[in-house]
Amino acid sequence: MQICLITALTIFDFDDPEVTTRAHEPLGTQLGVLCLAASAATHGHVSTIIDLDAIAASLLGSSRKQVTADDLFEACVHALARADAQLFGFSSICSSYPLTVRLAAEAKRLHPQAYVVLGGPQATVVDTPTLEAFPWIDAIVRGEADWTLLRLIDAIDERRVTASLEEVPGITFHRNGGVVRNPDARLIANLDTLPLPAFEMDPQIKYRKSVQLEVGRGCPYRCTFCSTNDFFRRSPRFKSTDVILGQMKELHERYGITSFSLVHDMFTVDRKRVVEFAEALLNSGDLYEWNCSARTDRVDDELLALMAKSGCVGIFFGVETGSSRLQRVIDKGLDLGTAREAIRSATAHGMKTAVGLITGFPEEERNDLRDTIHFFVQATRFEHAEPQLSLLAPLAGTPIEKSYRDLLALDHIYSDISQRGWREDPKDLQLIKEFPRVFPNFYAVPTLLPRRYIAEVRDFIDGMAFWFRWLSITLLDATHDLLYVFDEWLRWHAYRAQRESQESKERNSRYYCSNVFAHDLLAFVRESIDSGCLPNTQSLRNVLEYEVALCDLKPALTAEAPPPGIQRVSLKYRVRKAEGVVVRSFSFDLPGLLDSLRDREKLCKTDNRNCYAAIIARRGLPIHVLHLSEEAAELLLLCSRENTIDYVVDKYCDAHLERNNRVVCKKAAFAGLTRLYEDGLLEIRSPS
Amino acid sequence: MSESECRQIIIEVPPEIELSEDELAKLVEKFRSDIIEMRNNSIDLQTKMKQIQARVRRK
Repeated sequence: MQICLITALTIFDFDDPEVTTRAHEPLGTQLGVLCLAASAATHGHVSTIIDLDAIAASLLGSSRKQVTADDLFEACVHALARADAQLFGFSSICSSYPLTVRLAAEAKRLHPQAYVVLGGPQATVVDTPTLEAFPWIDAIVRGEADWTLLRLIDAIDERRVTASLEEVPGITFHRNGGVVRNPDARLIANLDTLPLPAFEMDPQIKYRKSVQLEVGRGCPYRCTFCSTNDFFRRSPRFKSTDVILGQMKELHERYGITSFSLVHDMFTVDRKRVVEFAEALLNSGDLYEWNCSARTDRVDDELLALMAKSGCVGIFFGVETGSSRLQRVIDKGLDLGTAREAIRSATAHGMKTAVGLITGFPEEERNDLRDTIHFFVQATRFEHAEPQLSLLAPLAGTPIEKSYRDLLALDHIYSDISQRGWREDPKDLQLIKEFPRVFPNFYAVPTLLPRRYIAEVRDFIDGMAFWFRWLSITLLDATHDLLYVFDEWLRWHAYRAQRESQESKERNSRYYCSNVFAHDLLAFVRESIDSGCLPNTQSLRNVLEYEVALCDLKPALTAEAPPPGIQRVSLKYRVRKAEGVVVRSFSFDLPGLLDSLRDREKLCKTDNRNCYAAIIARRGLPIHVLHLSEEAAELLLLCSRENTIDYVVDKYCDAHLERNNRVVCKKAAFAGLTRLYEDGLLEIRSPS
Repeated sequence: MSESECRQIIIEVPPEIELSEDELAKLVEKFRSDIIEMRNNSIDLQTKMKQIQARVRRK
């Protein structure tokens, strides 16, 4: 049978093509449809894939005008119209489910004889309400579809009917105006029997360095907010180390892939397997990078060290809440001390460590929210930690959604888990309003604190830590209460609006992402220290001074550092600070201050000795801050204009003659210029 | 810094000021600069990077 598999859209923002395409690029065609295409091929079925993200990216890349949700919809419909298939299979995730349903209607309209099937995490958990609401969908494949889809094809393929639909476990389908829900399919016990996903169907595979690779399925835990159990269920299953390594090697040899995102909800649940995998990878001599997800109580320093040694460069820890009380309420049950230690250990081994946190649980009190945002900010102390704070979305079928199903409200404050872009699509919204049972993730559970307040705390903390990592930590150290800081921020905003006789600026998520917020926040902290609303501590003043210095930078227009290579120059050559380099003096020990903020629980007292820093800001590149010795700073400042080497050296010697003879001074100055040039801080031009 | 990125100048100085390799190695230490922070979000990219971050949160 000819089948057409359609991915679930994961990107929605059309305002900035660069943002959208950069976010999309590394992911590639979704693993789920590649797995199904490979399974289908083993039974002689021919698949085509419509990659909605690729359509969106291509539209954004080729269009000179503003792209809209309607433009994307039309482009997707056009792709569906061109497809020639007897079965259209749509994958689904919660955030793009309204679009999936609308596209399924178009598939049926364009190909009335074809069978339209939905599958994936979202369709699985809302199968019956979906079929009751949308008659154009013929069936839904629940859970893992590798085998179920094949059985479904056998049941509908007129040429080789071997069973009726009623005999296909794991599907829900329309029959005589009603909906029939067959029993669940049996889990695939031996995942090694599954073929390598059809990576050859990703048109960009030759250009990718990184792909997702499934290593197992199933999570034994039962957290109340999580829907993964409904899809892969609770029995953890793994591919064997031999198969995983064999697939990595094959993908490397075929396409040059060197980086693997290992997909399993709980890869480290079986320590022995992880050790076996890491050791086998080390022994193979293959130098691949990989990343995975884990629970903080299912790793230890020894295991993380081994993982890092074998190429693990990234790990995702779902910590969810910084409140011990809520850890129990949501059935996550993590010890937060252990969690902190796991984050510290992973970052110490150089892993990029994502720390997932959620706010907006129905039982969350003010103290719980405070604990969570404090955990978030504490995590930023660690060099490679990347905390994320999301607003809870009641995912369909989860214990939370089931408990509050009758109390869900559409307040238009969306979770980033259900992110559909900055703009609401009215056609999606109409479906969401009409069918709350199908789309509960766009709704709100009742909360003890106002949802608007929680959402703004989230935006504020996320924005503050993103822009000003050190200031966030210092404010936490100085006040021990970041909710107090947030409340002061709200008061300051209201006061400023009154003072300036203007409407208070709208503080939406977009504002908290913007550099307008960054400048407002610095003004708020400065004025609040002066007014006594924030503690006037030395540390806070010092950190504020440093953050202001970085925020006020005007990056050089060029991204070019001075070119590499060896240059032979005469004394008549001209030297000047490289473009984008700023020399700043601070009245405190900046390296000591940053050192005490990193990886420490408490801020240490720093010395009040002067120090110099060179800040390098070039457009589009990371900002580098270098600690300069006094001699280096002095020499660099002499290079502020296009002076000749001769002149700079003479001036340096004039300042140092009391201590040394001129030859010694000159030697030092020449050595200094050599070093500053090597560090990319100087530019040299010929006398002409 | 990788070898390909290595940049170096050789200043043609009068013979009496020429530095031996040992002298140069000792003196350049006085002028060393250490990276104390690297921010992956340069000021002009921060808004965009932030938006990207929002997009790629787990589903």
